[in-house]
Amino acid sequence: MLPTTAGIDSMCRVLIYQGKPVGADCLLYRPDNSLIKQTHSSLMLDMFNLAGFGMTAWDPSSHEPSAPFRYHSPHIPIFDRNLKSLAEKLTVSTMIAHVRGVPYNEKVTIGEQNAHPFQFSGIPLAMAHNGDLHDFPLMRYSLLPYIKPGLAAQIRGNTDSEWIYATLLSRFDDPAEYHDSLATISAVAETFSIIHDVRRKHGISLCSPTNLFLSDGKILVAARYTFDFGCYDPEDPASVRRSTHKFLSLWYTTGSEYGLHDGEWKMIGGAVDADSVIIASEPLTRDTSTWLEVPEYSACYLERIDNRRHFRVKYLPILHI
Amino acid sequence: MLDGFLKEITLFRGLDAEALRELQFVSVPFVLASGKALFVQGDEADGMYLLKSGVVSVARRLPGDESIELASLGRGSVIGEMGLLDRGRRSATATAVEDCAGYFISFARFEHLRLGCTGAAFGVMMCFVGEVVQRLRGLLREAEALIDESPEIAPGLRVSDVPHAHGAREDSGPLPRWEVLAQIPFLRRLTENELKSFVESMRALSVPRGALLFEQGADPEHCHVVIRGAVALSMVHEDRYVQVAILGPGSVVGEIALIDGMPQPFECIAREDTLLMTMHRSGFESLRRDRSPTAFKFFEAVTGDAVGLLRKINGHIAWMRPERQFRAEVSSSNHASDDRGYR
Repeated sequence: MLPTTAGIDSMCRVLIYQGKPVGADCLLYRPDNSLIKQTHSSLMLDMFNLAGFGMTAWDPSSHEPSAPFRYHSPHIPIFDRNLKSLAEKLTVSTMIAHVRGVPYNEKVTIGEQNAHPFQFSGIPLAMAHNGDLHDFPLMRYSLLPYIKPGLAAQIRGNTDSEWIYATLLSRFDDPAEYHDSLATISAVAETFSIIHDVRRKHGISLCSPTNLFLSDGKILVAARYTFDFGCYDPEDPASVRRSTHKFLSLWYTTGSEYGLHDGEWKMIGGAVDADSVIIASEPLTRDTSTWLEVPEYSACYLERIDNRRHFRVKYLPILHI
Repeated sequence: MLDGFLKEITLFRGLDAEALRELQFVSVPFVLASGKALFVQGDEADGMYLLKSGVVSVARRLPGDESIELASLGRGSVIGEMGLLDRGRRSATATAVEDCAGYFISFARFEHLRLGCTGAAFGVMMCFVGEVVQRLRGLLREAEALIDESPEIAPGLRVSDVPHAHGAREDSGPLPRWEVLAQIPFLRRLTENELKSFVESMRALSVPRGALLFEQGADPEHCHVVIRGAVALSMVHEDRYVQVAILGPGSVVGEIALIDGMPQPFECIAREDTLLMTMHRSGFESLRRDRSPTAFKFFEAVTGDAVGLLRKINGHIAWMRPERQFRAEVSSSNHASDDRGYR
């Protein structure tokens, strides 16, 4: 059996792509475990993701290529004809796409303002989040001192994800500029350190997965991370059972071309000459043999070497020893 | 006949006559024509194969749809046993290079042995876990060789960046209540009495984040069960940690060295504030001799964890091999001052 995250209350599904231009529906709809299908029949989750969809995508042949296509909707994407039509027409060289999963109760806010990826006005970097910060309402406003006022003013929703985004952007001297992959990973590491400190100040120490997906159309960065992995409430047997004891999944595949080859959706062209990558919460196909797991507690990115884009992994430090 | 053939298989050489008879009982013959697949990478594992005649090629697919041959196997080989041990997916494709024949032990039939907790099942399991540990050490040597050839392919943290926190300390406080312990993977499989008896034989150990639990190369003294938090197993190579696995609640740690009596193949550091149950080597050996249902379930968990580590290292090597080749090409290109242009 593939590892599952059975037992947790909510979990989104995300993918990020960069490489040779490819039809958006080849990532969103057509593979047998496509992102849209993960709304209702994810291979690695025992739950539905019904709280909306979002996509930020760059097409270098479009008008103003540095400005991405953006689509956000609170509706269930499998019933969205507009999205399907758009995906069939759009060719992307970079894309972040996200289906939102939330607990099944009336306390959750469903709305466009809570759909990922987030991208503030005037800011090139977009971000999606897969995970859940435990007891976030307790710690939310303690993040404010770490967020530039102009960015705080742009927070529209009530998700932990948007606050993580605002905190991360504030790590840059000028968030409106483009930054390279390693600078972005440094910002990710610093953001995790801040969140860790704020959690500790509020006595929060329960397992909180936090996978991040970032791009500005030029760089691609993803992080596989969990705060307090393996830490449950020791006084509550039910919480132990509910807690996941598997690290939140993140997978990747690389190659020189992605598409339908020999009846199979896959990257071809070998890993040595690879300059295209898909990183996703779970593989987009039931056959996972050309996918590998991103290591835990690491960030991955594409590095330019000899004019080729090359997949790299960088491990994140152990916080506050 | 089959009995004589089973005795030829190196993996089963430690089994007594009774165990061989029980294995014989759950084995069914198979034949496979040249060019056909025994199983395909990614399929759910349904059993293992004992090859009596013919040759099977085992190959693994990689990102970019490349394929590498891992082994060419002949008479006496055991194929596909990893999936039997952890019920995971096939990690490679096995294809008959010539007409093949042998015996198949399905998971369902192996369960028949397992559920009986028989001496035979225990003996077979210990054969498997020994094989897995041997294979694991071989893969670690291969990973070290790849890094030696091309050090930049090891992306881990520098040793100097991980100053060890204060070491582990024996916790004077109690373990969580048994109702909590009973929810943790592996411990969940024990009955209430088995769990209480198992816990009584262990002691609690608190390990703060960043603390060293054991060093690579250390003599095996203890094994541990993670109760809360997580530890990182890493290869230490030159000045870098090469992270192999992160182990959370229910995982067994430190058992590899106790199984084969060789030094610890990994360094183990607490990645989070971690609570462990700890067993001295004597307790581990006692369980190995015991063959009680508790011992059986413990070694099932040990075997499953060892196979998990094997899968992890296979994944790392699958990434390292093309990375090494890429680095060699870049280096060669730089030396030739050849403009490749953008692809």
